[in-house]
Amino acid sequence: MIKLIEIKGLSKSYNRGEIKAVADLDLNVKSGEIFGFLGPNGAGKTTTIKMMVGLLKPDKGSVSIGGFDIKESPIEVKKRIGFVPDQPEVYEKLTGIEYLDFMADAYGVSREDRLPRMEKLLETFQMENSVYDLIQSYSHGMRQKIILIGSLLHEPEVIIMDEPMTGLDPRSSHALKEMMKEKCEEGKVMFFSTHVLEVAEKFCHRVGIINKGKLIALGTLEELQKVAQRRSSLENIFLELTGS
Amino acid sequence: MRWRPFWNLVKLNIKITFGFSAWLYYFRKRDRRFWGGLGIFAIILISIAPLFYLYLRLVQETTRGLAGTGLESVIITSGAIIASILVLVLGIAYVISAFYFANDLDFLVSLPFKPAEILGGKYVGVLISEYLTIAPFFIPPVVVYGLNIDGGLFYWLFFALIFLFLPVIPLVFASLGVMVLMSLTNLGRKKDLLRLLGMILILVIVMVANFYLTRLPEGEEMEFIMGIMEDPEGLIAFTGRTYPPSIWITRALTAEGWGSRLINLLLFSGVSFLGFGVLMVGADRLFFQGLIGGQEISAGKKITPGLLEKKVRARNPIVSIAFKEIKILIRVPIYLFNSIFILIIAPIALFFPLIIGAGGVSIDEYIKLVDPELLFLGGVGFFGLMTLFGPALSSSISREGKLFRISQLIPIPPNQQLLGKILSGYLVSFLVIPIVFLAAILYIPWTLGEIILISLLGLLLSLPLMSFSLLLDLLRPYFTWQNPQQAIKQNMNVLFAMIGGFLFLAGLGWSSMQLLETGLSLGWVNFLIGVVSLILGGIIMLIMFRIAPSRYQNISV
Ligand SMILES: Nc1ncnc2c1ncn2[C@@H]1O[C@H](COP(=O)(O)OP(=O)(O)O)[C@@H](O)[C@H]1O
Ligand SMILES: [Mg+2]
Repeated sequence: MIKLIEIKGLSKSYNRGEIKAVADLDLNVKSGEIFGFLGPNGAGKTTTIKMMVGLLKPDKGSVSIGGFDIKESPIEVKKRIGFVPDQPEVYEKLTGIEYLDFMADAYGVSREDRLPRMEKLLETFQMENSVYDLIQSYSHGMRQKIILIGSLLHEPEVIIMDEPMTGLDPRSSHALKEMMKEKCEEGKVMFFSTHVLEVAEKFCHRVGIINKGKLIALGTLEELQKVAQRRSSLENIFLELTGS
Repeated sequence: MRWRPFWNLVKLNIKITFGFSAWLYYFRKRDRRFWGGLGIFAIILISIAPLFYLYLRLVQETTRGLAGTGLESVIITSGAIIASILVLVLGIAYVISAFYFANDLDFLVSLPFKPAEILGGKYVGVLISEYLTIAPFFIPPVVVYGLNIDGGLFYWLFFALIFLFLPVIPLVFASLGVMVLMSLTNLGRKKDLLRLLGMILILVIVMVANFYLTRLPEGEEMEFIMGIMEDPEGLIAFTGRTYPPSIWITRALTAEGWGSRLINLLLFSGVSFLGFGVLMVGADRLFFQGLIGGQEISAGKKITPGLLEKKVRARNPIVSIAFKEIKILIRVPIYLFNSIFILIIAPIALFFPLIIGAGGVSIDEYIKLVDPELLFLGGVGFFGLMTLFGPALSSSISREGKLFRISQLIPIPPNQQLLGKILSGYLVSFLVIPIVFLAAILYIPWTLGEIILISLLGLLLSLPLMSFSLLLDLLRPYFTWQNPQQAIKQNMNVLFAMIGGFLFLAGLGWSSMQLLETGLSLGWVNFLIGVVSLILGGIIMLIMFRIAPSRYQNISV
């Protein structure tokens, strides 16, 4: 198996070292894997993800995606990533279709490729009618969906999502889960953070639990169950491991 | 309208407009921002000082030239007209952002105030900032005249009163015009475009009206001018006919006998009060109609099977960035007014004393006096100046705000993104070409070839100006704004880019004139301007390209 995400000794602190948001994180994710990144609020999930996609400069350590180091060849890395941030902030004054077209231009997707992909994704996420309106008029969930669609147009090898389920209606989050499975079958990587444990339990091949910037557990559900004796559900494992 | 809430709103607006509380706070806390603000204020003063000096000299020379003829009071008429039209033209822009795009409006509307009270408060805020605008234009002629005739206490007292009332009437006109426009165009999706067109229409009407009012009888211009020159009253009436209150102002300061002066002062102040009253009555009817209830965005378009295919087009990434910039620029009203509408306002504001024929001489007469070579260079410089006035690039990175994240995320190399931004700046710059055309058709006898050459040189000249603006914004972007207004208005890069660009243009203009004097032909001077612009622009872009990748990597928003 090819390691698509390789994180080594990643560290980031805020306020001149006072807050250690991420400390010495090591993590590998192989192709075809759905990886769930778990942790309580403020654990360092968003900080880690931002460093993975090049939005934040690490203090130490390295991230490489598809064999390219983010610091050495940022453009190569960005081409391979689809990223959905936690805050669905997007150009309000563009229409949905203008935004998607812009993203496709940015990732160099040809017209022939982008049309069928847009059609399919818009239908999957029921955006085919509102895509012609200004994003300004979208609800929170619709914004999330348009960003999601925009991040998938170039068929990235690695899809990174920060709390993607929050704010989606049941039908859309179902569509998202289906899409995730499908992508994994194609050998792509899904890396997403969440605090919704059932999601991780049901869909992730592997989970990593982060607390106070440190990775405290890593493995398949069965492996984690061994670590935390007698605890069966992920919720109990999570509570035990992250409890003070 | 009730006075107490009105007065409270006035105080609130003054505080907001001038940020006195914030300054006082910075001063007490010995905050850097206090000295920074003071420094910027000083830079502004220093950079407008030469222009002011020229104007002062013009006033003094005119007074000296007319001394003894009894005609010198006409400088007061001219000063009053210049100041008033400036208030009218700039007022349209001020008023529209204060009345319709201020960020406290939603809040104020939800409180139990009447429309006239809210609008009145905003009006006074704008009025006060207009005093700063008119002071350099109106004070010199009145002071020069007053010192010449040894005015005495009442002269200065009358002057003070007139100064206070001066912007009232033109600002009422601007407010009423804007209010009517905004309430008529509060129509769903296309309203921003409608509004822009409406504003252009208002300005065109003002210009055309002026053109007709100042036209001399054809064929007998000389006789006509001689005729009015014989009688001071005639000259003042002739000069003041575009704006009759300027005649009352002149008479209130210069008429024989205090009785006649007092009557004119009362007339002027009375009409000012009346104008304000009319505005308040109008505000109660019109203000909210334009302000609320127009946020409908959904197109409700019919979705047809082939629609997606029709809407999707693939573009080169650089072009795609440029189009995205332009779309956002056009669709956020504040950006639209500050970067595109200003291209229409600025030339009028720059040349209005000439356009309206202040001082009794029409613009054609002036143009005949100017050396054609200088006129040509002036055209090129004008092009550059327009590029400076539209702060499209000096806030281009700042305007992205939190969404700069998207620019960092996409795999378009930063240098290409910056090229896209410069391309968007050029797309805005192209709008100057029709303005040059219009000037040529209306006033200046340029040939088509000359217009094309001016435009080409102007576009070349824009390169260093635009890349410098963009470089500044790349070096210290301002991302933490809360509303679009702040992204431009509280962005020091906009100001610094303007000042830097202005110095560059002034230096280039001065050198060109020196070269022409040494006998170098205009063709060579043009060539040099082009080469210098290209080289300088190239150097700035190279610097920008050197630092951009690391800037894009290291900034976190
Ligand atoms: N810009 C910032 N400045 C200072 N501290 C920050 C900043 N962003 C995050 N933090 C801190 O870093 C820690 C990790 O935050 P984050 O990565 O957002 O957590 P999560 O996404 O897991 O909820 C928290 O303690 C948070 O307060
Ligand atoms: Mg988070």
